Amino acid sequence: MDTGASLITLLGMPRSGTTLVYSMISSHSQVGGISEPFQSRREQSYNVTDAAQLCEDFKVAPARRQQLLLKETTTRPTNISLSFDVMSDARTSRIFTGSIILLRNPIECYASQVEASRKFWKLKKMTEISEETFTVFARSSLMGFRIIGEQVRAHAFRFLSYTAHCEAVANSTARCMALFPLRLEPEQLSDFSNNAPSVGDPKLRDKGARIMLTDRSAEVEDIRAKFESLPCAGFYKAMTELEVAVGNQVPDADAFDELVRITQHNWRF
Amino acid sequence: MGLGYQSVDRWAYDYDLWFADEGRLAFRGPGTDLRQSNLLTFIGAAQTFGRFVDRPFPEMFRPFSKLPVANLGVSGAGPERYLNDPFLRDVLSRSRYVFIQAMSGRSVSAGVFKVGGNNGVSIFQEGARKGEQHLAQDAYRILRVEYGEDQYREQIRLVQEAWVERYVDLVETAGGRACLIWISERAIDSDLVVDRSPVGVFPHFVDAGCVAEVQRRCNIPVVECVLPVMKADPIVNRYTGELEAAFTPERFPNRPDDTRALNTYYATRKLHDLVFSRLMRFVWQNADLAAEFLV
Repeated sequence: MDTGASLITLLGMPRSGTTLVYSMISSHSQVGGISEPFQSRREQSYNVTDAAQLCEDFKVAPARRQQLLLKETTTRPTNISLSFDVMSDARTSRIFTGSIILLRNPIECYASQVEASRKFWKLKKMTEISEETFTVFARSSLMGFRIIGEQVRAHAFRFLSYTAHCEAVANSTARCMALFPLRLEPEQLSDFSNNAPSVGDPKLRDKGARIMLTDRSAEVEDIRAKFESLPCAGFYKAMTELEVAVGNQVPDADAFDELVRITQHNWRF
Repeated sequence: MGLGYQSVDRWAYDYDLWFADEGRLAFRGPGTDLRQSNLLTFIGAAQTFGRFVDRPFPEMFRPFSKLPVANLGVSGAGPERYLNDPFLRDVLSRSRYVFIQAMSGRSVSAGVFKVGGNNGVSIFQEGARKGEQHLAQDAYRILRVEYGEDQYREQIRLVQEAWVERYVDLVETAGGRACLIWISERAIDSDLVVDRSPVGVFPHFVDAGCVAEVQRRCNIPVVECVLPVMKADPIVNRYTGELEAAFTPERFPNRPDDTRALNTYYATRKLHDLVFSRLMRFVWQNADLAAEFLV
């Protein structure tokens, strides 16, 4: 019997727009959001996979526990594995599960991650554009997306291009809501209308920062050219092309096949 | 729109709903950019949408098409669903070709009824029940029982006239670049039988006279796809392979228990296969269409 409950995960690289999309979806009146539960409590080795306990631990309002959105990033592969464990556990309780796989130009994500590390993060780990940080970022992304490719087909899934999402916010968000399935509410768009600056990452908000749709194309091209001989450059290229294809409405099944091809490739980095 | 089916059927089917016009309109995926002007557009009701099938016939057509394919089927839709929506009218007017399913006559406003919702609801416009809204099947039963057989028969006549006018309008909106697809368990020239059901068999109230009149006025081809004995398809959980009782007692208390995991009404896989093959034959037999549409 369908319980009517849904648990949807939103997964992507760090700095790929996951917070923006998460904010839009979880602002629905019936959706309860849990943002980066495993990343945020990594120092406590937090590994709870029971949805009800997660709701308690992250103070999800009782009225919103039927429709849950859990966001994680590929910063650590463990974040992704645990997210799928949450979904698998939920499935045994006849909770409908699905994933939104958010893609953005991976070099943009990398450049944004370096900038954020430099300016905002307490732990200064990835503060310079370098061969090492470029490769480390690729490696964690690859491992995270490999887990996605191996496990997501047991659930419903949607691929989402960050670029395409920003160009057609209402249609794209409505598509995400249909996974629950819930109707898009006008209030979900009120802070995120096209051409308006979007409300920023909560981690940045207290620093007065806002997420703007910054044009990083020149910087991205510089980085690409600088590191094009590295072993991980092919991975960045493949993921860039996948995001473009998803933005051009390639069917999700085809995008999945391509993701598996990319992540199961015998990369050497 | 569409969310209802997705909610009920989600353990068995993923309709991959996508949206147009700022999130207002929902259609079955995969999505298509409706800003294009060379679309092959399919419009119709749940049969075109493809409830309870993995690949509805528009989707079967897609790999063979050079042009982008848009499945704009909507559950319970009638012609007014498309004619009364400026966004959809615009899409039809820009489409390269429109495949128009023969939709139900009960989804047409005429006589006693104005249709509401996605055209699956009838609103009484006169008489003792004026202002009341019912599912179309119930509304016609009430009409027959309470308003009398004569008014019921007159309603059918008015609906048929209105259906023809709407379809002529649809074809003209598409610039004449259209064909009519008949999808049913009964042939176009079969008698309308309304003894057991007040609306008969889908497409309700539409008969050979209606189709002939549209053809006469618009000169469009008709592709007839009839499966006289449409055996029910089981509804199967796509994750476990087990039967899935999509029509739960809680949400569908009046449905017989032995049909809860069966598609007993919507076009089955076999009927979709038939429609696809008839469509392909129709296109192939028209050299101009074949050259332009097919890879």
